[in-house]
Parts: sequence; C-alpha cells; structure tokens
Amino acid sequence: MQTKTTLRLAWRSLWELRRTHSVPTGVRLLAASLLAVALALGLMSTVAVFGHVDRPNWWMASLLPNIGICLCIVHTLLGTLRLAERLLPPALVERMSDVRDIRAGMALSALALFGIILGMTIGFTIVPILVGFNVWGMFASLPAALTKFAVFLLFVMAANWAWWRSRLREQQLRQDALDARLRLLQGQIEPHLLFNTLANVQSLMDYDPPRAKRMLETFSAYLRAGMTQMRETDSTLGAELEMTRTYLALYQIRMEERLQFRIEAGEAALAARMPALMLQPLVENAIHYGLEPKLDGGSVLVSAQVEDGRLRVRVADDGMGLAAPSRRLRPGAGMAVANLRARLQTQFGTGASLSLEAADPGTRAVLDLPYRAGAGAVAGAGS
Amino acid sequence: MTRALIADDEPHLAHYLRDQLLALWPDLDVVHIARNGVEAAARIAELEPDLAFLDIQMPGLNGLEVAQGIEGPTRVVFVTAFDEYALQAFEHAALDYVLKPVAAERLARTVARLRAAPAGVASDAAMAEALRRLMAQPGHTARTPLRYIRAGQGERTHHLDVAEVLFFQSDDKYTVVTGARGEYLIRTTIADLLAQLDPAQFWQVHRSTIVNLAWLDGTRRDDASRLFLRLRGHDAELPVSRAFVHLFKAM
Repeated sequence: MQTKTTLRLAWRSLWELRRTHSVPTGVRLLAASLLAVALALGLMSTVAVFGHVDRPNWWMASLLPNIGICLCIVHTLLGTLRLAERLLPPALVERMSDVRDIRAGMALSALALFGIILGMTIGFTIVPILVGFNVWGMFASLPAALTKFAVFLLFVMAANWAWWRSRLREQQLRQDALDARLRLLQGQIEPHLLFNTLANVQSLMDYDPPRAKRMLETFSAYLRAGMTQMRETDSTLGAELEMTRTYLALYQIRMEERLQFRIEAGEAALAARMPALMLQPLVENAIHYGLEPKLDGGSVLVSAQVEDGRLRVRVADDGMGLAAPSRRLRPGAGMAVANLRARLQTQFGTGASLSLEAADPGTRAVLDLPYRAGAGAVAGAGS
Repeated sequence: MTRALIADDEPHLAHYLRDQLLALWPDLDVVHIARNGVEAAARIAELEPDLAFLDIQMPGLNGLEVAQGIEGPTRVVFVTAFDEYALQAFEHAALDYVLKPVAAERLARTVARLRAAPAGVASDAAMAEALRRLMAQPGHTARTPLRYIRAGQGERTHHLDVAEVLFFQSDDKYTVVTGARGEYLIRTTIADLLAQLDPAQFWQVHRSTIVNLAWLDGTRRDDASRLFLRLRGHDAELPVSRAFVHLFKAM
C-alpha cells in the first residue's frame, strides 16, 4: 500500500514542473524506468499486431534494443523537464505549470517534444553500439519501423493530451471545492454582529426608538447587500463598497462618535469587476483589531483608484496598529487575510496581491488587482 | 444590600441590563455604569462592588482583562452577545454569564444563582484557568522555556538570566523587568512572556504581573482579605488579583 502510494506520487511528480519535488529521486527514476519498459512492450505489441513483420525471431531480437531506446527517450525527456525547472527563472516555471493557460501547455509540450527527439537521437546512437544491432538501418529500410515511429509519436501526443485534460479537470475540481468552502465561510453573517445588533434594538426600543428604527434599517440594508454578494463570485467594486458602507454605517450607530468613515472611488473604479466579498473582511479587520479596542476609536478610509491598468483598493484605519497584541477571542483572527490571499492566488496567480502595512498610527491594507471594466457603472455606492 | 457595577461600551445596553436586573432583584444597588474596560477596572478597585457585570468586548481593556486585574472581593459576571469560545469556557468552568439580547427567564436563573451562593475559591480557580486558556496567544507554545532576556536600560542593552528576575510588570506599552540589580524595559507583553516562561517557576498573579517564585519571601492578607506578595530584595508589596489568590492557598 505504502509502495503503491509512493510510486503514484512519483508518477505524478514526473510530469509536474516544480523546483522542488517531495518524492525521492531514486523512486522517481524507478517510476520513469518502469514507464520506459511498459512503453517498449506496448510499442512492440502494437507493431506485432499492425506492422506485418515477416522476419523470424523479430520479437526476441528487437526487445532489448527497444527497451534501451525507450529508456533513453523517457529519461532524456524527464531530464529535460528537470533541467528546465532548474535553469528557467522561477516565475516562468510557475507560469508554465498553470494548466489553465493554453500557452503554458504549448510551451510545456514543445519542451517535451524537444526532450523526446533528443532522447530518440541519443537512443538510436547509443543502443546500436551497445547491442550490436543496426537500428538506423532497420529504421530506414523497414516499413515496420516507420510505422513504429509514427505510432510512437501519436502515442506520445495522445498521452500528453489526455494528461493535460486530466490535470485541467483535477485543478478545476479543486478550485470548485475551494470556492464552495470559501463561500460557506463567507456566507456566515458574523453571529456576534447579529446578536449584538438585536441586543441594541432590544434596548433602544425603550430608550431611543428612532435610533432603534435606524439600526434595523441599516442592518437590513447590510444583510441585503451581503446576501447579494454571497451569491456572486464575480462582483463589482461598486457592489462591494455598498456592502462596506452599510456595515460601517451599522457600526457607526453603535460606536457613535468613536467611529468616522469615508469612502472614495471614481466612476471607473466603481465599475471595475472584482471577486465578491474581498473588501468586507478588510473593513471588518480595521474595525475589530484597529478601532473597537481603542478607547477613543478613530476613522476608516476606504479608497479605490484605477492606475496603469490596475485596480488598487486601500482600507486605512488609525487604530491600534499591527504591533498591538491581539486581544480578540474569536479565532479566525488573521485567517481572513490568509483566506483572501489564497483566493487571489487561485484566481489571479501572481497577478494580484494583498499587502498589510503599518501606518502611523494604524494599519493600511492594499488590494492590488488587474483592472477589468464591468458592463456598466453601479450607481449609489459613493458616500 | 448587594452592590453591583455594570460595564459596557454601549451605555443603553448597560442601562437596559440594569433595568432588567432591578426588576428581578429590587434591592440590588447599581453603583456605577462604566463605558470601557479601563474605567471599569478603576471603579471596581475604588468601589469594591459585590458584583461586576463585564461586557467581554470593550475598548481599553476587555472584560477578561478587567477580571484578571480584580484584587478585592468582587464577583464577576461576564456579558456577551456571542463569543463561541468564551461561552464554551464559561460553561466548562461553571462561570456566571449573561447573554445579550437579555432574555428575562434566563436572567432570572442567573440572578437566582448569584443570590443563592457566594462564589468560592473553587470558582476563582476555575475562572483563572478559563481566562488563561482564552487569553493565551496562539502560536506561542514554547518547547524550551525562555532562559535569557535582552532588555534596554537607557542606551544600553542587557543580557539577563531569567533566574535573576524578581518579577515582570506591564506598564502601558512596555513591560518592566525588575531584576536583582535594577529595572529594565522590554517590549514583550505579559501574555507573550507567560507563554514562554517556565510555568513551574513563574506565576502570573495579576493581569499585569508575573513573579519568579524563587524570590518569594512571603504573603500578607489585609483586613479586606486581599493578598499581597513580598519578594526578597524588593521593598514594595505586589497585589495578587482575586483570580490568582487560590494559587497561594496551599502554600
């Protein structure tokens, strides 16, 4: 069972372009060699069935050279991949591993084809010397050998294609699972916020009915904006800001003069497409870790600009700052940022980032995304 | 007459709780309503109420921190809207708590419990344990205890063996390290230190204090049954807060 798993991991790691592999080199070499033997046997069986070989003892005479050549091909191919991992810049290796990118697939295929041709050249040169068998002559003279070559290339291309499809599917499934999990995580309205709002309404009904009413209205607006966002995966900054605005307004009713906030975004920024529920966790962090624990409270500034084809969204607070020891009891503190970074990574690769900086005083979070214009500006998100 | 303090950063919530409490407990005397943790801690020390209803999430000091700093006889009742982990810990330690929004029937049960029996030493110990677990900084479980400390004193830094430290005391942004030969300032918080120091040798005795037992000279109890520690080589006594008094019962 253990051996089986190790071999399967080795098999997978053979075809992945990565700088470091978790499977030991010996095991990977063994997997490659097994593949070569299987390939040789498969090829010979194909030729035996379709090739109309009429020479006696053909099978026995060809077996060893064929295995030898296949070993050369497979090891040269994998050697080429390993060499590419080491010699190419890490960013390029990263891009070539992206199975969703057709150009990456073509580059990888070209690399593999180069490895195969190089391996065949080496194989056809070395093997005849070793076994005293003139493969080149046979290759040139026999239609069977030509068929073999064509079948071999077809086999490689088919295998490559099938492998590519399966990896694409696998990645898609993983992505779907991750999306579903994140939606589940995001789908929860924070229970503390819910119960605290209800408690507020309960007491305000006796002491300050107009404020109780305002609180209920704002909370409804927040829930409505939140529910809409939770059903989307791809949203607009305008919709994100609307949710943020109702959230901050709700906290302002509770914290009164302890919270000020401002939202600034131009038309182009408002219309920009972005993943849903990316902004909300940053604003929650600013409130929970920055301003709520601070005696005098403070202010939150959310601003968005489109610059050089990028959408930059900043959430700045003048609260406790990053260096302050976390006094929150809720787990998931700091998880929000890690979650957001994971989402950016799956959706944009290295094309987007989220940075947290210490401001003086407070904290500034900057979300940097590729700018994608939406279908139309969403109105009513400014404040 | 039972005297109580209520602390919540949203005053109308505190007032509502007071009114609900008074309806169930007419001879309860609410002596103060505090708007944040710092005010609550100061007023509890000054007024020494029998009960303190502390909202968990307050600016300045949170409810748990206020509880850790109480030296006198005040019994704590935590108030929260929803803090899953805190609630689990309170249930586990059988501590008193009130949920927001307030439900009359539930509050009546809590009031009955508060009126029936005074909180004993056992509940102090349970509270200390619950607070320690809730306030532990995650990711700081040191395998080998901290042995040396680098501390500043003016422009110079010092390399201190923890065995030479009498006690640590937090002071706003810094922690004051009192050693056998003087005082030093470090930036590590009490909570972080606690996670790194050898728990057999260093005890937290207050929200803001960790003492080295090797330097303990003795204890003193005052008329109000508050406990103080004397350390060798240090003139002033250190107060022990209510939650940690049980540590010295067996000594």
